[in-house]
Amino acid sequence: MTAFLLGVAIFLLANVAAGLVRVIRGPTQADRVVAAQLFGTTGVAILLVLSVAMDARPLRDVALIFALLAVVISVAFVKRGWVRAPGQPSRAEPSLPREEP
Amino acid sequence: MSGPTDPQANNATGAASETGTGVDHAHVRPLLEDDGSRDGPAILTWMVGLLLVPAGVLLALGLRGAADSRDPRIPDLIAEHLPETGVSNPVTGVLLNFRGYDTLLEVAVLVAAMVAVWSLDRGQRVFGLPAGRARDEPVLAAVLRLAVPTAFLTAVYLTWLGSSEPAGAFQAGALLAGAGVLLTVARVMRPPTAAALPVRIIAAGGVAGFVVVGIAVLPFTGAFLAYPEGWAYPLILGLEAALAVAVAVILVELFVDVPSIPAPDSTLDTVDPTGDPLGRALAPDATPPDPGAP
Amino acid sequence: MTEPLTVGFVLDGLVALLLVGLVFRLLRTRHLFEAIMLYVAYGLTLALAWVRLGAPDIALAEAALGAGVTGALFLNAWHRMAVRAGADERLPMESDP
Repeated sequence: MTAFLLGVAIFLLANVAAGLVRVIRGPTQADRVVAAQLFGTTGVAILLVLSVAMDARPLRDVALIFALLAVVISVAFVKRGWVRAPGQPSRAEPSLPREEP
Repeated sequence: MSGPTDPQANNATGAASETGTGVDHAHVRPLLEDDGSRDGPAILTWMVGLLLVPAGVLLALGLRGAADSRDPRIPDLIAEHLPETGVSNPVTGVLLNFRGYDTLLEVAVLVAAMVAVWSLDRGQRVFGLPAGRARDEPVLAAVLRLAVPTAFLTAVYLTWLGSSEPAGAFQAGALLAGAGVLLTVARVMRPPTAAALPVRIIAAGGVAGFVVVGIAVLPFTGAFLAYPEGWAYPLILGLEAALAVAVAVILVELFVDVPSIPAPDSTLDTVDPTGDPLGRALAPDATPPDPGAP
Repeated sequence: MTEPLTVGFVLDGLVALLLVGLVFRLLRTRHLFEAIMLYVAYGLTLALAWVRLGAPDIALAEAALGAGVTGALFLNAWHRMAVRAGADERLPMESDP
């Protein structure tokens, strides 16, 4: 059972590693933050699985901190990490169609 | 910035979005988007890596030396005397009882860091309160209503937990600081600068609490920071609480008391409407913040 | 008893590889926003490493300070740099007045 749970943790960590490609590739700031948030969420799952696998209760507290600090990062991003490039019109994120005047 | 003379254009961000003139695109592009040339020179990375190799080797050697020279009796001694510390978590027992000195000096270093950042402060405020924005941001308000009380509760829990499980004042303080940063960034709370007397009292409270307790126990035990029998648990818990709050306040101040250089940043409130010459010398193209701007 | 140890070894190896890979990319990139997010991911990975090393109290401090508060500090500094460089402070989704 321990081996199975550790295997689950490996699978979750591999998911995180795959998500980190979006941190590197982007293309927008939002893509990068969402990928980092994926790490926060999946990190909670990894820690909870590990707390059973390693029989370590304190890991649940670490998971709690992961969840709470993810909020700090996302709010900091929305308020301080998202700006328009100079001269960029509104709603001109690359994924959105450019607004015709 | 060579903007128009219209005082309204002092808000340089508005001017930038309308005309785009006078803005150094070369500087802002790498901040916002991929421009194909984003990778630094490879030689630099390898040089940093090469420099780190000897540092890592030295560190490994040092750690090995430390492991070799460690007195094998110490773990047993700690385990044997742990009941006398008043707590059941060995880390807390060592940090706040056996080696209280170390922790006292650690917190003193944090206070010194806050003083250093404070000395760079030029009386300008980056974070201000919004004018009735909370209604416009229902999602943010809901997130804060959930996250901030949870963070406070968890911080209290971690402080208390430190006596029996791996946790403690520093972790709780960091979490409280996270809640403070959250409120600051969301412009709900406007934290005072380190110049405010309550901030200084609370920030020094960790060190002061240690010193006061350390001296107060002298008549009873004859040694600095040697807790009298039966008093260890309440004293440690009280010190932990003072430490957690002090660490939180210091960290938030490190976040808030950024040395301000006048910038075309419409969120920048200035106390001194004339601006200061040093700031303008550092950023010659920056428009001084307009005190009359909305 | 050997099987869980082997799986645990793979997990530890993955954490270590992730740490080194993140640092390498962090040093290579000139894209500051990417670097901030990599730093946050690095802090979370390091917290996982501390957990695997049996030091959950250090993992707590690393997650709270390294990933949370420092990440917010860097985002704030980035915002100031971007606005100073002339970026529009309004969100990309906000409409022009």
